[in-house]
Amino acid sequence: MEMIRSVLLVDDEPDILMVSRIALQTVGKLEVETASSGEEALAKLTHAQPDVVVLDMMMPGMDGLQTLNQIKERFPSLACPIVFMTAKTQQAEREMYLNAGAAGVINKPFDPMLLPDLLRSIVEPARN
Amino acid sequence: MEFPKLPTNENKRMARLRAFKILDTPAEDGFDDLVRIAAGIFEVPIALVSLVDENRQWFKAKLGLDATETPRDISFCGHAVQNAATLVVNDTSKDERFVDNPLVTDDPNIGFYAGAPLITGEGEAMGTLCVIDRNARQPSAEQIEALEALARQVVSRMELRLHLLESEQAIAAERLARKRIERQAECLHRLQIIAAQYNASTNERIDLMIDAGLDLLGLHLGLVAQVKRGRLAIRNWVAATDSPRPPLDKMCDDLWQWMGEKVDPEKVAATADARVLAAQFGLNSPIAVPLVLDGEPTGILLFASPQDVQPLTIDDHTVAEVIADGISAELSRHRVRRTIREEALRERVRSQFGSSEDRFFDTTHEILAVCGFDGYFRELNPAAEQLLGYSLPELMSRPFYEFLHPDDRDQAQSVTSDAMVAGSRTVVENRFARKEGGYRWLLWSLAADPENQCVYGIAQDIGDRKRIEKMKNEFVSTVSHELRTPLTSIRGSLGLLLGGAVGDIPGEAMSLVKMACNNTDRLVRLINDMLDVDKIESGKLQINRLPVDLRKVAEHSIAANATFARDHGVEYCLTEAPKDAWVRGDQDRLIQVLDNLLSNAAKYARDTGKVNVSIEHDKDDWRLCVTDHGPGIDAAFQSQLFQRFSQADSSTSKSSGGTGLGLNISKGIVEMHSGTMGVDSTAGSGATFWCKLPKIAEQPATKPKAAGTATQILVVEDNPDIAHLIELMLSQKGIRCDLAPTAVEAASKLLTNRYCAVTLDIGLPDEDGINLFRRMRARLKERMPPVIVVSATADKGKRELAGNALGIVQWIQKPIDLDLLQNAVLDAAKRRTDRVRVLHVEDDAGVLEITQRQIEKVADVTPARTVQEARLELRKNEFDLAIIDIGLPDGDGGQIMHEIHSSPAPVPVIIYSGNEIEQSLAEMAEAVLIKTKHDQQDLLTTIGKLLDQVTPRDTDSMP
Repeated sequence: MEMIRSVLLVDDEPDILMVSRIALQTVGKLEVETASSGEEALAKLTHAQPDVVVLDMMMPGMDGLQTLNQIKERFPSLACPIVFMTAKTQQAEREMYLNAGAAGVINKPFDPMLLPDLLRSIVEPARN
Repeated sequence: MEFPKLPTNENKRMARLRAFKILDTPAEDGFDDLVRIAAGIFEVPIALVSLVDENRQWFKAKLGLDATETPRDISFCGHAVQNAATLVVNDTSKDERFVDNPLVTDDPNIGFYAGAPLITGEGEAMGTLCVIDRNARQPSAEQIEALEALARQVVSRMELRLHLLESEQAIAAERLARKRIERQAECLHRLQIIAAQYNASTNERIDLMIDAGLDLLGLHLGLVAQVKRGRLAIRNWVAATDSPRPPLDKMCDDLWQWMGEKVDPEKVAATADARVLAAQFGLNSPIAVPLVLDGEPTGILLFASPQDVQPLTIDDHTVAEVIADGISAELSRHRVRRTIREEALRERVRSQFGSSEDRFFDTTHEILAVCGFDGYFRELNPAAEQLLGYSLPELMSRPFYEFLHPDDRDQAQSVTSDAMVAGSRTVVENRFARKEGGYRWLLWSLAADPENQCVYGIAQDIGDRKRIEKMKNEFVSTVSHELRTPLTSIRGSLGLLLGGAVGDIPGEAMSLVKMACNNTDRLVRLINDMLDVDKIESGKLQINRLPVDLRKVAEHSIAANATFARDHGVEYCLTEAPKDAWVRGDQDRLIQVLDNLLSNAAKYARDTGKVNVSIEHDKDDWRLCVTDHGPGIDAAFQSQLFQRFSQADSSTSKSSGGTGLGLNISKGIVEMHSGTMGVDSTAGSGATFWCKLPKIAEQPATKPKAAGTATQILVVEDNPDIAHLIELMLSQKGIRCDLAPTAVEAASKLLTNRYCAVTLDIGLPDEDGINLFRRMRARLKERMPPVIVVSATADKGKRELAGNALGIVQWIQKPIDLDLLQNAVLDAAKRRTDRVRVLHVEDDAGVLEITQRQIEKVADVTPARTVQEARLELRKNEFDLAIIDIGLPDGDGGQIMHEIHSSPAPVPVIIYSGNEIEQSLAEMAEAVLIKTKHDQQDLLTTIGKLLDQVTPRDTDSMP
């Protein structure tokens, strides 16, 4: 089992982006790259290879699902897990995200102190 | 030598001899004694009871002779029989008839012979009682007389024997007949009891009759199908086992084709013999009987079983016929009643509405319908044509549910059948097909009329309402998302500050941050509650309808809220809780209700000691009460309590942290369980909140889910109360707990057992929990189960490990959040419990067992010993791997291979066979092993390799 070191965070809300960045950097000791849209995320992935991508679900332009599909299509060799963040917490929606190929779903609002462990618990068994 | 001639009455004689049923039967003492006496009288070595049939003499009794028979041509007795008279040959050497007879010239060298005929009936001789000596002799007249007397005794013995035999057979036949009659009587008796149930509907009666048939026949599936609109349609069916229902409609269609699109009584009987059903639909021992109404065969009654059962007898057919008669009679009565009622109904409608009836019926915009309990519309008004586009004959030619949206059919069926049973009124929404495509939303008001076997319905087009509802739902969903988004950054920022992630904060500022954080949490709760309220109001709240034990609900809620209670200076006491307090509903939602009542009691009756919880009988309901000793509630305010945002004292709302929606939601949930909720209180002396829920019959104790080590977790916790609480919380999800109160015990248990997860307390008496975790992780490496830290100092521990918490999947702060704990453990357990499912098709019990033992640690093995069993299993269950033997008792494993191969998601297959395999078959398999070339070990190695490739579906892993 390999530990994750770097994360690409994608969210259109700058505030949330900042909170999750601080949580992952200071609490989780992770390298964090951020993007404020699906398009920007795809652009960053051409030169960065994060260990995990965290995608907001509701974004203007490409939403989380579309971004996930694009990542899989354009970067088939990039084997990193993708985790969704969403404020839609209905069970049916959660299942739909998992079926779409997400490694896990993090509900908003989240406790930033628990965020890095939550992410690791989702991603690290999946990478194994 | 002279051959004996046939007597003139030979045919009659032979018939009579056969009738004695004595030829070729074993020796009997009575006859043996008689020959012994005869030999004694003549003082000769040989005496026989000889019976002469077409071409031999056969000895029923013999003394001094080894042969059991000799040819008739050379027999002495043949001569005695020819004349039906005593034959005495004093000296064979002087008798021309016998002098060169082989029995004289050769063994037994007969010198003297005396034979008295065995005469019965009208003088036919069956044979003789004869005595023989090797030397010539001169018997006295007395000796001959004695021989003849003994011969008569032989005959009477033969007659006696026959008589006995006949009576024994008669008794056996009578016993059989009586049994048959008793069975028929039992059958008729049951039919009478069923017929006497005056309040039962025709359907119920037919079901009961089928049931009685299944019981008497020892079979498991029965159905009545009737010819209806050019096909054989199922009218009733009863399954006595919970095995999956075979595609009965398809079966009836096939039967119909088979019989040449009519009910042909001969073919019906032949169907049972041909066992086509057995082959095609996995059914055994079919009995089919035609149902005859008014002299016309109009349907069939069919019994069968998906299991192997005793072969059927002719008696069973009789039983089936008696049941069929009963059902035919019931159907015929039903037909008569229905005709009479329809006539009466028309008459009534005519008399009530007079001439306005037609105009009323025709001009309304709503659909007016009369639908029979058989599912077919009997009457419809023109509005149906306008709204749906189908013509009335089109609508009336098919059962109504065929027009429903597939997703709405189950609900429609259950609603209407409930209404049919109760004869009640009900309202249901569903989508009806339109001829030009698409569906129309209809709101039905239904009233059942069991007497007339029909449902009256009025349907309104609610398409507009549905569109608005959809918009509103989308709006609520969007708003809740829009609210959560800013809350996420607020809660996140505050959380980082509070957790010290961005440096220390001075005391005063800290308490402000804490307050902001608490209020953010409250806002989140408020949004969740508002979503609940919206779901309840719009009827969108999904409620399970399963048996729920209220006592369990109470125990669970009390345990989960105990800490909260302590903090508020109260204690929950379960004062009365009967064992059989079962209701139908949604356990999680009922827990939500009780949680709400318990936390209210703690908040509003702060520091008052005991809060009593009880479950009491209240006629047909259970009454769940929560009684506090707080300030009570003003009578004036009690009526407003259950409205939204109503808290008795606006000052309490500030300290209570509630949303003001709890009771409103609780009431909604209880009402969705067909219950009521209320409060009894007088100001100053406490309050009792209660909810009443309808009782259901006591449920059989369900065995806890068989849990191997795979669903067992280790609870490392030194406080026995908390350990017990965790155990309680997890037992609800079928997870078994092993407890370890010290680090030493935990370590030894981790080394010897396999757990799917560990809950870990940090403050252990003998070692720090984090230390224990580090130590065990180093020792067990990959075998270390996922760890969930449950501790009052979870935050501190987490900071200590700072990023080195690999293997810790969740940090849970005490007091324990029930959902958090359950979900964390379930997530962790899921990774370990998803086992590979293997179907092993093999008729050799040894191979089955060895394989199962070897792989049971990683796989669940389902054995199948025949092609048929394998088919059933494949239909019932999903598998990740199949191991198939080709030579099976009832067919060829290749058949299964073909079926698997042509299925949409073929299961990987290993062939393990005694014979060489055709190339085409081998190509369908992942591996082919031949029993003579590969041994058990090869099989296990192959399975092992494949199991590594074949992993169970895991939703959490990446594709």
